[in-house]
Amino acid sequence: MLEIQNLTLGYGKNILLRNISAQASPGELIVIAGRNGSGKSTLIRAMTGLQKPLAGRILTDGIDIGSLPRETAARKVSIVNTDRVRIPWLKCRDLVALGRAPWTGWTGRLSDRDEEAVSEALESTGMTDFAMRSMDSMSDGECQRIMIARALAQDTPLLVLDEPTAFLDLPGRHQITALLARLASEKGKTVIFSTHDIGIALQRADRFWILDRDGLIVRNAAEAAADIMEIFGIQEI
Amino acid sequence: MILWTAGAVLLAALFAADMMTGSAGIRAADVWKAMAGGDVPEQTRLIVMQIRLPKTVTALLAGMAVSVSGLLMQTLFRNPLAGPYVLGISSGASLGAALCVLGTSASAALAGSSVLAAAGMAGAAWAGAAAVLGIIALASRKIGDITVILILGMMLGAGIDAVVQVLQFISDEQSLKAYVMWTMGSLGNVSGVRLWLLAAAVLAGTGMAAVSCKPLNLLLLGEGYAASCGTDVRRVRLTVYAATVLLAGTVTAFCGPVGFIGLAVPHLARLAAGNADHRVLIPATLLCGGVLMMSCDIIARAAAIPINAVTSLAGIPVVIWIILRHRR
Repeated sequence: MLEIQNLTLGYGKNILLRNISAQASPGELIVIAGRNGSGKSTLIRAMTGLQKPLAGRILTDGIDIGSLPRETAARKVSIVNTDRVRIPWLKCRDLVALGRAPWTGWTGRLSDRDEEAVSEALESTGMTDFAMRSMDSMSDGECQRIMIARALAQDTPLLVLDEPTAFLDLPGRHQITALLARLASEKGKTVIFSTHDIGIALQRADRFWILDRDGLIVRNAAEAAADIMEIFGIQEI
Repeated sequence: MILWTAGAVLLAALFAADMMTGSAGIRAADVWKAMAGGDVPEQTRLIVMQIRLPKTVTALLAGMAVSVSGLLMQTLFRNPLAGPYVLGISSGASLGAALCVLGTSASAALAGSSVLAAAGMAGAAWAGAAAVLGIIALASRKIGDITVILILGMMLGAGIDAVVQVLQFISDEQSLKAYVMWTMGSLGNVSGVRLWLLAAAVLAGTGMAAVSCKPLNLLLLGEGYAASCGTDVRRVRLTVYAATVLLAGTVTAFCGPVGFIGLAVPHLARLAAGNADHRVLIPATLLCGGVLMMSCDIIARAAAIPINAVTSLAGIPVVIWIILRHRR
């Protein structure tokens, strides 16, 4: 259970989001929509506890994420950000295994339970066959699946993703969005992601968080289209 | 496992070969006898124990040190071309060392093996390396673009080298000669206190790298991911900086600026290990660094040319290979 309470985000005097509140339950797929610069990435960073709010707080299971030690926070929320990750010589399985970091000791040695979680994460994302390959020979869509698998291996109730479909072709966008919907419903995770692919998101999302100058408004998928068109000033999606 | 054994055997063989190589023609059997405390002429024993052994151990340690510092920089800056030399850290250390060599009388700084002179030289180099690293670190907080950081490092290095040239111009002949000898790189001036100091710095620096193996692996993903996985990025960065200053600074102080080894060896280690995991890469880098540096030392001794020329000639092809490989 994620609760955003009267949150204000920004950098110094530049306030991006003022006094926003929202909630997300396990199993929900939530899409953050908004124009460039509306604060989508900042909100996502704040949900991982890496961006300090100017006011308000974000609670996971009733605890302020900002007050948790880093390692404890890493067991609550995992992220897929917009960094392009291509590490030569690193096999996909080892990359996914890095997601186990909050659960392993100082050397990062994997227990049987950890190995199991890694295999499961690869299977859930359909990437088992890629386990022994390295990312520099893979497509953008395949790499994005591996990054999602890494976040899954972290085994957190909350998974947030910053524009996970941005660099993908059309089939890739549909596949990744479908994958996220499946992870939310089958694994009971709260999945929150930002995107500009509103059309695809409308087919899959349970709810929309729409960001604009007035802050954050929450809409069901059925009623979101009209508001998004109005805020974006467009006639159709 | 076979690869590790082969590496260890190669390292031992090169150590032996390095001990055999030198201007004084000493038979292999006598080198062995001198080390084992057998019956050899006093002069032979002196050459082996006082000159060749320290020099060979220095080659081993220096190769390991600059290679691990290169690995740390490449991981931290997420760039295959990062290294103590490219980022200007070696230049910073050499400015500290230059101030030491050119400032004090040459005989005291170079020939003197007193604890104070050795510690002073190392301290000056550490301060110089730390200053450059500090500037680079500060800049990298403000500038996300790693290419800009690398260019900045090169410019810093070039600027410092210019300052050193001015220092050379205004210093007396004796200091100048000592300094020029130092810039050519030499593994032969490290014995006694210096050797112990070098060994301690390598041990400490490598130890700091080793305890950071898990966060270093996470940093491969970038600082954002590392932090989201529970890493205290600031603390890791400080540890890695301190390790780099110790490793690259000490080697630069005692052996001169050793070019390209720190940049090239981590790539050879990745190639040999077929892995990017620091738990494998740190020992592999130590091994490859020792092997390459001792090979360079054997060539330098056999041909009687400065070590820095050999390491550059050995490292540059590797760097070109990296650039071509990362072109796409």
